[in-house]
Amino acid sequence: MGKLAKVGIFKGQKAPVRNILKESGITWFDGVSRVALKKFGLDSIAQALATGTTLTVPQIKLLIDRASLPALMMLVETVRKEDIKNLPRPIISIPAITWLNDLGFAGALKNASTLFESIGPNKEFQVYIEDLDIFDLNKLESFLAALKEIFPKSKFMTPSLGEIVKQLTPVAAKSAKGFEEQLKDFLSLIKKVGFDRILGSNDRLGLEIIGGAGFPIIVRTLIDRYENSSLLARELYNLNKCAADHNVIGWIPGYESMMTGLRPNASTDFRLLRTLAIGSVVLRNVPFYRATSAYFTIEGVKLSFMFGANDFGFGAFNTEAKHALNLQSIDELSRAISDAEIFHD
Amino acid sequence: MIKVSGVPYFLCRHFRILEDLPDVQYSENIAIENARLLMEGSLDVALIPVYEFAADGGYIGLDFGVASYEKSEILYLCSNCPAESLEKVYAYQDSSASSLLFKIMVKQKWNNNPRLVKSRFKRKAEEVGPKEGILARYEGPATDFENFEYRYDLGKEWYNLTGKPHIYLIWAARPGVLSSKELRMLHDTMHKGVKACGKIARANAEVFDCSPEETERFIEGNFCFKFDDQVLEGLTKQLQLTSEHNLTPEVDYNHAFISLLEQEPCGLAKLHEEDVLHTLLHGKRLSIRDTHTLFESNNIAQIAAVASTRSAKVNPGVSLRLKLSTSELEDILIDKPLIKDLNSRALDRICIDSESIAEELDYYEDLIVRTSKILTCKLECFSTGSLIKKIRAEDKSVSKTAARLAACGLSSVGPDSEMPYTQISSERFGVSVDEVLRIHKWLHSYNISTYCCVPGNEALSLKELVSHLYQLRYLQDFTRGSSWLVLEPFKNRNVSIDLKFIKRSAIAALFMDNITTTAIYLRDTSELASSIQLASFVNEIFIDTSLNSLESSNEIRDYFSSFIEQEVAPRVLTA
Repeated sequence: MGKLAKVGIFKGQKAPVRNILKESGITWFDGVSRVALKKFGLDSIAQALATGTTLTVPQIKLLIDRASLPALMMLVETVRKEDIKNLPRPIISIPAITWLNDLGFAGALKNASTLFESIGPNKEFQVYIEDLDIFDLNKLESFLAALKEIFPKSKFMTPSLGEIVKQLTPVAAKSAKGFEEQLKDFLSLIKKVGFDRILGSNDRLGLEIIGGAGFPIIVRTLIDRYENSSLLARELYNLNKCAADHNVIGWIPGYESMMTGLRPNASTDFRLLRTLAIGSVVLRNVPFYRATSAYFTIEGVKLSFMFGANDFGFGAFNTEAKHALNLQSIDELSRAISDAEIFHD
Repeated sequence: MIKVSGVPYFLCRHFRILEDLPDVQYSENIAIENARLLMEGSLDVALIPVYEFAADGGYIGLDFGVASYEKSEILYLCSNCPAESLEKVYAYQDSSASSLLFKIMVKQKWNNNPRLVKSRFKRKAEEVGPKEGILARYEGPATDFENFEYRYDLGKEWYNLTGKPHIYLIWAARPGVLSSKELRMLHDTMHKGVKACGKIARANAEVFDCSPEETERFIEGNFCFKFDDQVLEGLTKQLQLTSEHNLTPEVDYNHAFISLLEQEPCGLAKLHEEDVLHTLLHGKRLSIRDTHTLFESNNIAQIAAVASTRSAKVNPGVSLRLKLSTSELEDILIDKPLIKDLNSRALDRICIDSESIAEELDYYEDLIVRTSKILTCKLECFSTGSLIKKIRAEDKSVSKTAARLAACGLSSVGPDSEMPYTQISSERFGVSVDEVLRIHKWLHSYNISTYCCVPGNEALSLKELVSHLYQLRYLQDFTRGSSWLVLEPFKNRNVSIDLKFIKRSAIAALFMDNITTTAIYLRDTSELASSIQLASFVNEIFIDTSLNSLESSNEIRDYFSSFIEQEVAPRVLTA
């Protein structure tokens, strides 16, 4: 068992040694963890994590193929970054372009303000412009500016990079500029107009463009896109490497089939929880691991903290957001998270 | 070699039969010295005072020792004044059990508080003051009371106060040191010794100024060496009173008389939770004290991981269990196509509902016989609690009922999820712990499996929960008759799992190390929660079904079988 001290003094109070080391940013596996992980065949992974070495593709594949759930939960607990949690935030979806066209600036502003006021004062919220037209962005600039002045805690979000690319593709060929340059131009314009975020991207290759435009980067890994564990392991490895260079702030495990009708269920929840745990251990260069109700059931979101989630995404404030983004309501999500326990040390 | 120590009192001479056993190294010491050596690990089994058994705790009691019924005729308070007026009492040096009895009497009956002073010498009346007395122990029936005017037979005083026997000494074993075979061997030998105690007393009558007949009468009339229910009730009362009057140091239990010490003779320091988990990883058994330590821990992931290292040795499975009322079963038994269909479905068992209909045992026996001839799957009927009540109501014998049910073809008796095996059962369910454990024993002896349940009642205190599990584990050590440890979810909660439940379940699975299968019922929890538990430390899931939902239940079974194949089976232990 060893003679290592198990208790120390930290910030004037008695605390377990593992807590002290964790607060100091040190990953440390005690004797029990090392023996247990050895039994699970994961001692090389524990060694790598303890020394801060990036996990290799074979090691990530080993986690995917062979790590049992309790072993993963133990790894998650050891590497978890304390005190970083994004609780569910409300998101509202509005057809801003349609309102501006149909009701004019004043009417659109009135509609949006009425809706935003019902969230409550001083609450941070996201606004998703569901009918964004990248060729009609200028209309939005003053509209967004006005709303931000009235509601300083609001943040505005566009559809994903993939959607923007879809809009650009038919007309891009007509321009002399290269596609990538045109895309960068549009992203700069989107930023200038007042948008704060782009919906999470599936494409690792688009990260540089999004980051280059000054947007925070959130990446989705849709696990059913990867035929086997080797491919998924490689993706996670590359993502971790990329995250070091490109300020990726969040990672979301998900299912591509859920965009085309598959509903979250116990089976998808289980696989995603495992992936979430693996991601939170592997992606050391990413600060937030999100369990979103777009991919998880409410029960899955509630249990996700145990598997490494520290970001619980957005909850739909209005019906439009629920349908546009496939999210559960903010009330239900907040209730589930407040019922959930968290690991304490 | 099993190191066994008795005491050299005449009353205990029949226990010397133990020295004839192979692999036993027998010795004798005074009882309090035995207690010290047992605690330090120098002895494996010893006859020790009841005070030491309760206070230092942690031993397995062997149902043998020394107890007196209505009087002792050997243990006396002798004094120059009435007991109520005493100011000082001299006790002989190794008077642990008698001192305790004296203190209880002083508090319960005499409402006094004399000083108790240990003395090497036996004093006469004229050698002590007018408000002083002595505790005296005699080897045989006392006749010479050293001129003291007042004499109190402490065994008789106790009996007058409580109506129950008093235990002085208990044969205690260090937990985990002896196998069930060795414990059984000691039991059987002590039993032989006890049967012969009268004969031994007669043979040694010359020690006293009594005839052999009088000596035999003295031993057999006053004392009990094999503890029956009545004696154990007396023990419970004794320990209750010692606890109430703070006559024992702080123990884990107020009412139970068993708690566990660490197995290593390294002192009584509490182990840190990491050390506890470390010992578990190396195959050691979880003691009660260490169980409490784990319950205080917040390191739930680690506890669950250690629990899963044990459960991963058993291949997980899914059991489909068909619940039928008696009338449904009667209808099935005459429906040939349905019989054929059910026999082809690979059901784990049929569970006959015995709660809703007040039929007699004979009816169920007949039903089980007819069913076992026609349906190929196993049969389960009753719960332990309901079976006890039926036996009681029909005034039947437990052993005969168990034998008959086994002969009829009953495979298992269902779980008692609501009923923890503690004193609560007596008060709330009208079923005593002894009855429950006894019926388990009889069922197991006839190969009828039972369940150990971790109750889902959150109001159950930690002490009660651990006491409940301890008794089940102890019984299982002997009989190995329980086939499943069932984890009941917390009542009145959402159907998912949470950290508190995971912790409780993992610790229960670690504690009940003599049951290989840890199971849950799908009805009690969501599919996701069941999946997480199956992937952690649960290795069987029970799917309850009815005739109407057989198809959908089959699909669920297929889902979980596939889940196990894809998600659980590939991730096994490497070492």
